[in-house]
Amino acid sequence: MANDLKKIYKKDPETITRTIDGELIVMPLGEDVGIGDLGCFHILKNKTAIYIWDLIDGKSSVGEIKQEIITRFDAEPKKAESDIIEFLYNLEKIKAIA
Amino acid sequence: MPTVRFSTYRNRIMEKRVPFIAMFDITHRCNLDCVHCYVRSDGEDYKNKELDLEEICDMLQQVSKAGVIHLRLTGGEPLLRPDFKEIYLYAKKKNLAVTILTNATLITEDMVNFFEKHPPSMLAISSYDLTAQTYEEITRVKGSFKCFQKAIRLLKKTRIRYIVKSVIMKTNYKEAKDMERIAGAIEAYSFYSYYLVPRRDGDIAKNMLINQQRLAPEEIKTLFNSNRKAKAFKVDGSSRKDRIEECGAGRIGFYIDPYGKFNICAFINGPNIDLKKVRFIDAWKSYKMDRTPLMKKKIACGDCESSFSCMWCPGLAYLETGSTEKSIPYLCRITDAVNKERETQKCSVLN
Repeated sequence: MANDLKKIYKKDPETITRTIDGELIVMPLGEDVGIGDLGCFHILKNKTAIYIWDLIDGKSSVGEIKQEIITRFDAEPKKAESDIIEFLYNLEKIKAIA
Repeated sequence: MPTVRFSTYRNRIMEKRVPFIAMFDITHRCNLDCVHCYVRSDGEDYKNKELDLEEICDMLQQVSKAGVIHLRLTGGEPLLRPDFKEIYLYAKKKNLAVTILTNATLITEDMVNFFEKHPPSMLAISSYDLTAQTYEEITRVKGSFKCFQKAIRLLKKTRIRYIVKSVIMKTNYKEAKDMERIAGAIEAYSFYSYYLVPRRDGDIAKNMLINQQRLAPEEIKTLFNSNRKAKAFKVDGSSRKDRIEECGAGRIGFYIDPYGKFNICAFINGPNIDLKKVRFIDAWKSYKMDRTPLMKKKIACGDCESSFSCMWCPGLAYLETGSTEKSIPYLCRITDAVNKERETQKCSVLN
């Protein structure tokens, strides 16, 4: 867990994102975005999730992101940590961040 | 983290009218001269009228800001423009998912290296046959097949994603009976159409050539029998009314021609809005298509029982007849032919 907090993520430059109607669409290029049917993409609806996405800058560590979330949303530290790590893991899995 | 299919999401954003998909013809010039082409317009006059790099980038910036996520760069042959790489990189910089519709004959080693470094979402490649003779009978440019083959060979060695799309006409009809074999040889997902679209500019002489290349109902029936599982013959179950309701033109999608003219559909050539004079977002907001009259049963095709397997759409109707409401006699004939064949086969299975 301590190692997870030291990790620094950066967004995949090929990932396409767009905010539509308050939701963030995340479409990694590795996903199926073929012609005709544009395939799948991911939607971040939760404002905390969108804020975390904004904080991923290739400089801030997971620990620093966690601290920012706790301060901004008055979150419970342990819960915030596990939620953030899980969320980042999911983003990593879809190759939106590395 | 919710994952959604575009097909599900599109209904949500259609209601809100969010510009999401842009089709941008950056040139109507082409290095090939395909007999069936519905847009190619060559010559200095057309070249001089085209948007320049700065104008294209300005429009890309505007559409990206408005919400567009998916850009189809097409033509003519988009790679023919000397500033293609700059246009493409600018689109990528604006965080657009770019699909390039190309004939691939200008894809050299240099271009493959470029695409490997800056991958497109997809290359959608036009292909007509696997023999030089038939291919070049269609493209009417000697040596074009060699360039096409070389491009496919180069692409096969990379991770660049590409699909192949074919149009079946008189010239390649015999070879096209076995489309799966062709797709297998190219090692790509392939889909094809047997419906040749008439000229966007209404050019009578060129439309005559297109008409001559159109398959007769009997030929389409034969094609159906040898390619029954092909997507082109899939009955999607949507009625004419569904198709009008689901059509994304002007609700999520739009078209820009090489001269900066905006329309909600590539097939509807006028009235257009000049994006050199009007900001994209204003054009988008002002151009609405009232679909209500199209839904009425009284107009042509309104109660046609074959509409579930027909390609009819308002855009095609406009291109064929000058009205978004009329039926397309050629489509009626070929749809009937395939449907009758489908029925005959059903009966023989039951017997």
